[in-house]
Amino acid sequence: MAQVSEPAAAVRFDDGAWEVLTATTNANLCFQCGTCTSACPLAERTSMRVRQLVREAQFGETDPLVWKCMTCGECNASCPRGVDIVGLVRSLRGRAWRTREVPPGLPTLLWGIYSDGNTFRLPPSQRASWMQDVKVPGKGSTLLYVGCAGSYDPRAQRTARSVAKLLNLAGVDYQVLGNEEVCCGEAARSIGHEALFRDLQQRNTESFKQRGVERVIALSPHSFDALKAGQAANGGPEVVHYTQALEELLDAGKLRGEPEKRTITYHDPCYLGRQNGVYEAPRRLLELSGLTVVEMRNNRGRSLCCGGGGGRMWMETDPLERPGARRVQEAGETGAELLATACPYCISVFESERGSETIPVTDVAEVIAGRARA
Amino acid sequence: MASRDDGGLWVYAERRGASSFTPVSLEILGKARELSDRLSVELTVVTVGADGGAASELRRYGPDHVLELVHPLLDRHDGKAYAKAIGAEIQKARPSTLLLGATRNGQDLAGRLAVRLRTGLTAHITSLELDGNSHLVGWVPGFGGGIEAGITCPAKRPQMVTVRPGVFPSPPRGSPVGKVKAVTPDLSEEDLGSRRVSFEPKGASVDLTRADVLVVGGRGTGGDFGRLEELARRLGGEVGATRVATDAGWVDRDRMIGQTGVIARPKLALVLGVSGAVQFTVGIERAGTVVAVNRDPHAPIFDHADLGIVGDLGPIVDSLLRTLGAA
Repeated sequence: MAQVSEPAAAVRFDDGAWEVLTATTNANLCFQCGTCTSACPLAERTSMRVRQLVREAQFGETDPLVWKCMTCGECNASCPRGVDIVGLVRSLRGRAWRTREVPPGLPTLLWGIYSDGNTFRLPPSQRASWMQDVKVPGKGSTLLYVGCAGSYDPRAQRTARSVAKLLNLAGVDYQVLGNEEVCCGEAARSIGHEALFRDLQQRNTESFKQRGVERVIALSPHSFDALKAGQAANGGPEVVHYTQALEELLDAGKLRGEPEKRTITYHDPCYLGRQNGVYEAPRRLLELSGLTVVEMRNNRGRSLCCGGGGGRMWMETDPLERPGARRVQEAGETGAELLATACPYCISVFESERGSETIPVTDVAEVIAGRARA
Repeated sequence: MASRDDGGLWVYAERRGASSFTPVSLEILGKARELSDRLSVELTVVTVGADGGAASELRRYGPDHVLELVHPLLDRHDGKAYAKAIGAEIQKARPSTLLLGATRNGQDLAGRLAVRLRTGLTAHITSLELDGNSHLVGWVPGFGGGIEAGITCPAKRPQMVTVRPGVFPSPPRGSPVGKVKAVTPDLSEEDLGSRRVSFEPKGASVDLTRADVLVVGGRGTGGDFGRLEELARRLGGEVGATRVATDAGWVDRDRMIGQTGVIARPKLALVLGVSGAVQFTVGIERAGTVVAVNRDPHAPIFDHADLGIVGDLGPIVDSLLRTLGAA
């Protein structure tokens, strides 16, 4: 006889679940129009349907496909009812932790963040190793927050050094936390562990306050987003992304570039663009440093997610469900010589999913650092 | 089928092995016993398979009749053939009611039978009752739980319902009762909607976290994992791979090392043709000794290796195999 798989048990109507839903999300506002599903980049690759996921949540159920979500925020931007669907996804994942219905590898990730303060399960004593030959002034009320990728991923370390060198070139007096820096908690929040996220944010706030920090420059858009939320909640310092800080320096004439003929296309990372509205700073940076920016068909608010957000960096994705290669292809179609972005996850995904023949991928900071003068 | 039914109540019991059934099959059998007692009609449970061994177990759940449809072609669920076999018996016996479990196979079968018998089907009910005219009312939740729809099928017979698993309790297993009848349906190969090409049980997965020696290959192997397997065998270890190598289909996904794969702790890791992105190196960070071979002297993998060899993989693997000799 063939093996059969049982469908999910009967839906139970649970007033408690409804209370949780309305207390932690605004998904009760959803009237099931389905605009979210049509905006979702996963709809064409997976069987996850955002509308259905929200409906099941209203019933008190958690769709196991919720783990596929990259939290790119296309659904939030499209929702006519203003439902925070990304927030709902995090909340549903949080509920799944209580019954341990989570994808393999994620408990290991959380333990790593908890015990080592980073997402790579590497020793905290190696956190400052990104600096190599870069000298950081080590004073001042501005702090460069490097984050786990910039600290440990050799690829992202290059971006971190580029930003630090640019700040040095412009004469900015800034400090870094070095080995005392801990994870911003964005990874924990994205996979639904709000408590660990809050704990890490508090630890960061205390570090910032002890060192008299008034402004934090975040290297990764994910840290930028998480620190912005966390510091606002804890009364911590102002948080900006490095592209915003560098734009100010170029505007103020503290950095300059020389015109050249190369064209470049820019990919908007979800957590910088759609989630935080920073679209123009990276483009102006590239233009002020003398390059010509050409746009992909899907740009700014319609940027296509690389696939690395929402904790997907720590979950294996079926090759047919990965969106990265298509984005690199779109970049190639612009005729640009270089694809620049401003997020270590995007770079990591694009590097791994582009074919060897396609457009090279780099970070905006690295492009500028190669060209800027004081 | 008009109302010339015999009033009997039928349940489809879906087999899940030689003499076991899906839990919902027994749940609906319990509920059906209660309904047929109230209606004073006979309860028949029908089951399908390639052999007739299942009736004795079903007799323990209180049916009046067990009908076994036995045919070599019915050895696994095939909606088309099952519907033909069961449909023929229903047209002969004309029961007034047919209950099925809302499993994937049950749903497949129920839809086909309803079309074949030109009758209505209430799908995925969460409760069942009888109305004043002894029609079955199946309740289906709708519109966010604000409404439950009660659905009846007054004009057609049999009235058909699929029941969600878990809504009725399992009846106790008692002494065997009821008469058993075995029937061989009239079926041929053409009645099957699917064909079994081969049967391949999912292989036992490996546990690379326990391997003392790992031979890991990446893009630089060009897919030549045959010799890596030989190397692993002679070293008493296992083969692992990068994401690129698993994506290419060179190696199974359960052998992928790294951030979204296995975090391994071998005593020795031989890392061959791997550039060394951090998403991979976190998977060998806890290895005792790492030996890396790569053509590119600047490959980041050398920052993670205790011993690095710059050179072409082919001759180096050959030389290793020669040195180790036949194991």
